[in-house]
Amino acid sequence: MVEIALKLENIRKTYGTTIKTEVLHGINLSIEAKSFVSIVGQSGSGKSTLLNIIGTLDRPSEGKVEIFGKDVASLKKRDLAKLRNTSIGFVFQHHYLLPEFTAYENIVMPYRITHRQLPKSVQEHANDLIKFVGLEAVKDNLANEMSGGQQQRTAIARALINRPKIILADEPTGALDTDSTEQVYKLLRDINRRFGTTFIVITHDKKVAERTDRMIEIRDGAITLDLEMH
Amino acid sequence: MFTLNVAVRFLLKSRLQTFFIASGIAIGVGVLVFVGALITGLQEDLIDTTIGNSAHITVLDEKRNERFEADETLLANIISTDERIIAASRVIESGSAFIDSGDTTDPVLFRGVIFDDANAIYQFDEKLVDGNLPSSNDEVIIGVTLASFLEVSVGDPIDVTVPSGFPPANETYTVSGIFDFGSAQVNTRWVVASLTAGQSLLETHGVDAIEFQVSDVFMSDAIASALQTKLGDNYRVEEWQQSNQELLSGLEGQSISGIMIQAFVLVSVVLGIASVLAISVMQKSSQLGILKAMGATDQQSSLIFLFQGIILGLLGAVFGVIIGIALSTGFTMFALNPDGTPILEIIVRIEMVIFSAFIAVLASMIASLIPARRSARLSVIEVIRNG
Ligand SMILES: Nc1ncnc2c1ncn2[C@@H]1O[C@H](COP(=O)(O)OP(=O)(O)O)[C@@H](O)[C@H]1O
Ligand SMILES: [Mg+2]
Repeated sequence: MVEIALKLENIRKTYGTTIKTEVLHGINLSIEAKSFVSIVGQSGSGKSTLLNIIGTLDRPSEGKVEIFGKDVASLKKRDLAKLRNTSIGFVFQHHYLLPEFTAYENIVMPYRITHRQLPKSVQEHANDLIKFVGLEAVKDNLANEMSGGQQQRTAIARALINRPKIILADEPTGALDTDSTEQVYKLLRDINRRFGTTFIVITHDKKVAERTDRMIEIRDGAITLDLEMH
Repeated sequence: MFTLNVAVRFLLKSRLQTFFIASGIAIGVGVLVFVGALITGLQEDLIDTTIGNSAHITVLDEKRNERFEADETLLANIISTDERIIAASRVIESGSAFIDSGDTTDPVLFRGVIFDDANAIYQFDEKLVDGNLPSSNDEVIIGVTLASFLEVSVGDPIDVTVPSGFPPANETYTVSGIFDFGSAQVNTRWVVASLTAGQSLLETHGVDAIEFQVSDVFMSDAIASALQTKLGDNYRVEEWQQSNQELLSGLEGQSISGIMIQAFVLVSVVLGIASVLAISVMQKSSQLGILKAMGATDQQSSLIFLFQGIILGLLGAVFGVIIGIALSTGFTMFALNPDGTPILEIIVRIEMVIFSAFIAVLASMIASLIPARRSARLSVIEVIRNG
């Protein structure tokens, strides 16, 4: 039986207190571990809202989120932080890196949040990741001393440092040029194959979406298309 | 620790901001140290002026102007009352004595003391500017003003008359030394001989008073009342605070105004740090959002700002102490009387310096609580959405 990485049951999200707007209308979704899933849809359709709920950064107004079988509603804020730290990697469109730290320091940051020491094994892992994402030349550079593509690849390496089971990416190439976009997607795909990491990636790019395992389209807060690609 | 590391990096990233706020704290601490030292200096100076040339506690006869026998037993008995009594000196005196220099007579206060004992209170030996302490019963020491007035110097004779008896007692002494107490009163009036010389001139075996010095000048009232209880009604115990109430309330007023100044300085330091760090939370919201998304807890987010406060406080404290000591030293060095002595000897107390530094760090920590709270409350979603 295939392991289920993520299960959403009837997820609703309502914004506002006086004027209530429901932006997600009962989403049901189940995502298999190790799959590479893309979410597409027009701007304002609710993709980011959904991804933030999946990543426990936001709570649904209604419905149930299970990550690897664990219902996150029961978790306290502190436990959610721990869950994000150990099991989920984030890649955002903006806010790539902490500009006060070098690429290498940014990459080991998620580990340092929960550990006092940085053991040799983690340092080696970090260096492997740096090699893997092709950043050896700039690993000691500060964020503003790197190109947009390099910064995003640093953020990807950072998302991997704690060997998370899921990586959530919200338009990770939205601010990048075509070449960098291609590079980044190739990288994500490689990671997925090599480490078996589950990916949920929001993208505008249909061509990118078509190359994933499964494409989910959201329109006005509801899933309108769910395609297995092979 | 990662929170400390992030705090340091945040401060290093905005160097200029860090520099300004740390300078602000440093100046505040400097003022704290300086004002504290100034007030301590002023107070010690005032107290010294008031009781530097007098005893802290005086034991007199019950009727005040009668003489009484004071032997070693009585003295030992008194000293054993309280271990804070550090010196005791018997004194015989006449306030109606005068010096007859042929054409003029100058009123003086003629005192007889045992110099070995009296030095512990008056430091006659250190205040001599010429000559020596009397080595025999026909020698006296006098003040510089009196000496120049009488145009006498060491080795010259002076003629002391005490009109209390009939015929008036009269004796010629040799001036063996000249002292300077820095007090016009003492320098013009005092003529000091040995106790036996005094007793012989005044034709008595008794003393007028026993004078005491205590180690803690502000405990003189308690010690005096213990003494009074012990000695009983035949004696009358006086102490300096009782007769200097105005000075004491003046000192208190000074302390309070000093504390007020220091409190206002502290408040402005706290407000400065709080506002800078609060702005910093806004500036760093993107970083904080990322950290929280990666699993940093709310506590860790607030620690980052608490540490920034503490670091700023420590930096400010170190440089502030340097500024404060420099100011105090500068004041002592450059604010001088015409004769080149400092207007005021400023006293930098180590415990006060440590206290000021500690208060600065504590204040910085408190100031960083509000930004820390903000940082803890910062919502990841807001940050990500508004990126
Ligand atoms: N905090 C909020 N308050 C009110 N409305 C919001 C808030 N966040 C998002 N929305 C609305 O929810 C809808 C979905 O937004 P979002 O999930 O960001 O869409 P997408 O990522 O697909 O562009 C949009 O109409 C947006 O305006
Ligand atoms: Mg979006």
